[in-house]
Amino acid sequence: MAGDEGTPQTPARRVTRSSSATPLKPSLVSPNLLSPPTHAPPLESLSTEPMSADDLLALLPSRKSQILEFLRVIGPLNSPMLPALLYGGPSTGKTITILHVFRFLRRRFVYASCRSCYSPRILFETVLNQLLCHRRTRENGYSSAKRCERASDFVNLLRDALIRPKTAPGDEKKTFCSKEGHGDGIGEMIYLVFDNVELIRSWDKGSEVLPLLFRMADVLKTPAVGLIYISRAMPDAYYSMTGSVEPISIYFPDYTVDDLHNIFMRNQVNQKLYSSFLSIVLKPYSRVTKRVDELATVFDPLFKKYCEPLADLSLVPDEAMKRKLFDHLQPHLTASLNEIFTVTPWSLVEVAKERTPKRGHVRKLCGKEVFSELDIHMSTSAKYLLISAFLASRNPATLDAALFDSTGGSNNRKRKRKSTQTSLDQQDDMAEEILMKGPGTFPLERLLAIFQCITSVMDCSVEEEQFEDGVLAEGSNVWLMSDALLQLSTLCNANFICKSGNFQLEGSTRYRSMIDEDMALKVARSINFPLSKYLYRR
Amino acid sequence: MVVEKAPTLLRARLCDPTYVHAAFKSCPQSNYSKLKLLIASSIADAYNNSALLLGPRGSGKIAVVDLVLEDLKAEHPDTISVIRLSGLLHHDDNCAHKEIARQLCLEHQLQFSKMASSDDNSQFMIDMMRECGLAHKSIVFVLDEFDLFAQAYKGKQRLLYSLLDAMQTLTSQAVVIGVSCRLDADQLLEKRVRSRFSHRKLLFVPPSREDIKRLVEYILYLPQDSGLSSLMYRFESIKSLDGELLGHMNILNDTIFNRILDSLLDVDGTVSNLVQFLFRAVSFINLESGLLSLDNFKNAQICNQRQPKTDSLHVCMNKLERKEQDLYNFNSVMKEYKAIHDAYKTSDSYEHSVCLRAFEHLLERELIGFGEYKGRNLSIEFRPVKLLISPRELYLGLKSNSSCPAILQKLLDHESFK
Repeated sequence: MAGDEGTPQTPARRVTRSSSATPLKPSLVSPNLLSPPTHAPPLESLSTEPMSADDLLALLPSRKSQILEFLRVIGPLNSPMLPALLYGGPSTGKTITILHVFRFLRRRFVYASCRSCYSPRILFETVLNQLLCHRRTRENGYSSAKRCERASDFVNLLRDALIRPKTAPGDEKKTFCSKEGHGDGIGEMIYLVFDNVELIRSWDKGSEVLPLLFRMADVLKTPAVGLIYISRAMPDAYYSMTGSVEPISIYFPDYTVDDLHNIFMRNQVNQKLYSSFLSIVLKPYSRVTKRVDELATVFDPLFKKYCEPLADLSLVPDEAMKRKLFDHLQPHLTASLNEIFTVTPWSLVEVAKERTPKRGHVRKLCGKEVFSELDIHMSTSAKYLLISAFLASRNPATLDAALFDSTGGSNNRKRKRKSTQTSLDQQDDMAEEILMKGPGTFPLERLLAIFQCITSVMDCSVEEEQFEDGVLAEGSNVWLMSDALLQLSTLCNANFICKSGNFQLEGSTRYRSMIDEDMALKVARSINFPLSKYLYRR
Repeated sequence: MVVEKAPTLLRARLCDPTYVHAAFKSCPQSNYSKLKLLIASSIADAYNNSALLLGPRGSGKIAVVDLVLEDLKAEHPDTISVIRLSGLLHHDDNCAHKEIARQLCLEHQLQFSKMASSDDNSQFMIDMMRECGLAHKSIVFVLDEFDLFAQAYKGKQRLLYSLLDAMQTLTSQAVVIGVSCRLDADQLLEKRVRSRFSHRKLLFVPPSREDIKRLVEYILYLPQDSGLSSLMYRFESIKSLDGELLGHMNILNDTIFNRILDSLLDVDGTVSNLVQFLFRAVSFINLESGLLSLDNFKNAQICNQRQPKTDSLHVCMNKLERKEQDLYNFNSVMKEYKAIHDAYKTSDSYEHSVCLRAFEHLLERELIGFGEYKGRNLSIEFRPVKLLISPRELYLGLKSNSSCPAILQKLLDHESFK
């Protein structure tokens, strides 16, 4: 991000055939699959209708004490406040609480997230745009109101924008302000909300911007500004070497199981059905993670599986039916518990739907089955290169001669000797060392040597098969050296192989393979390569 | 209702540092008086001067400077112009010169050109200093975060040198006040800069207990004649069991209050910490009666404490640390984890990928961190990590987490006895 000044990138002009085909697919699928049903309404629908205190507490069921604390810190109308820091784990409702509280209070605020404003200039310009009620549209070429790169300019412009009299801006500007929920504010205080401030630490100029942000109140010297920071990191993360002024901190603890239950029960059409579902799944899953977004992605497909036997989704289940549904869901639960909570990509879900009728029994949930195949498309030479890299990292260099001789190495297996105690200890130590150090490094020459060995072996076997089929071999000698080097750089960019710069004594760079054994097996299986014969097992 | 204005008034006072530190104005030995004397004499006798204000953060250095300048401007109208620079914003020389030129133009109603180059700006500054000197007006430069100016840009302190040099060579009347929270800020200066700098230093120390009490009274006291319904904080009615009014209590003399205050100031004795505490207490004000009570202060104290978080992977890491392994990474933690589960046959055994996710969560929350920079190219499973919270915090966190399985507690206790 260092060189990127934040100019919007024009999208790539290439349009391949596959991308023109995909717009059809989402229309076939129901939209529910993608949007989590349990979250509060998205930001765009935050209108300026007045909200009562009860509505506020009802929208955010488990955050009552935090809301009250925050309201206390903000204080009554037109009263100044010390800067406040809201911190807590991810997905604990910090941002949504703030936005709802401001909607309830109907005071003017400016919101900037350091996740979408990823450099200082974008952050500064976003804040100024909102203060000046300026919208980036096509007419003004998507430019900001003021160009601001340096912090000193930002402070001066900010001071001007805050002090200027609150005369009503032009009509369209006013509607823009009120649509965003910003301009309809009452009172003279303006609140600046900075979200995700922990990300600033990883910026290029982050070490300058962060102390400035936290001392903004002192630097600005305008009493009519309230500063609010939202962060995932604890306040300890912001202590600097020269001391820092601590803002008032408000802690958002993780949700308890009861809170999670309340959150998931909101916006459900059939309350009884969903609550019986939750009573089964919530307890075991909440031991793994308490994050609402992860749980939502897991519960969606499970709930669909749960409702499969039911013909009518709106009926209230009685005990017998609950029992039946539970039995139906049971086998999926244990398998699903061991998956990571990611949303399965579209293509895999579609493929899984085609496949499930074929299987006699459902072994695992749809995601897991499909993952046993490689879901990345790579060229054959790239696959061979990847496997050579994996072998080079796993096996010690001294074994190469034995494994990769002209016969393909499959005859010389390491014979098992009787293991004495010392050799067992040695093996334990070496196993521990593998665990600690990770995959080994190898020079480029070794990689290319292994690559040539493997491909020449596979060449022979492929030619034999094709000779039997009577089909002409399809350019089996086509893997030139230059092609391999190109593939290597592609694999490096994709982070399958990485350069390790530590051993410069020999003058050549060394590489390290970053894939684990599962992936290597998948790749090997896809090209019918007997990987296990070549792996050095201790 | 007048009572509702009280919290607003108190908050406005607390948020304004100049008000807070004006409490010590009258004291003859205070930094306020010394600084005032310094600047006043340099204005009156028309010579250059420089001083450094040093002290921990939140001790009110800038507040005192502002107070002094405000008073002096009232006493000697039209003879002082103030230029404020901050090390956070203006440590770059070009930026600083531009800002000085801009502020000078603002003060003297001149046109500021944004297109002016850095040389033009610095020349303008020198000319202005000469002119003001001839006209017997003083320029006061307030340099906030002075240590950042001294460390700027490869250590060539061009701005400082040009300022101080101009003061020596020209017929100028300037006062340079540096404000910093590093007590060794003057050691950071180059030799040529230091020789032109007068070594006057004003140290800001945290106030004593009596001063603190006076400060609290000064801030929270709302006089009766301002139209507010009752004296704040002084009176909390004590009712006996029969419901009779026994008497009123002055909170300031109450032992519990003093104890709260002591525990607060033991951690951080600066004024800003006190102000934050008072702010929280004020936020709890009972709006109907408008009285601050002892409970408010207690609540404010509770808010200040923080919560630890933990996880079962943590306990494994703790075990490993106890075994005095300097380096461990995710795989060794996994081995421990599996060992524990095999030993105790709990139901919590999860697969590799789920544990990796939990590991990433722990990294996100910064409860563990990567140990060394060497292994940067490795994937997450092989990089060595270190535990970032102490065993005591881990223990507290486990205790407060009600859904935590008992096995973890036992394991932790065993480790602590070994």
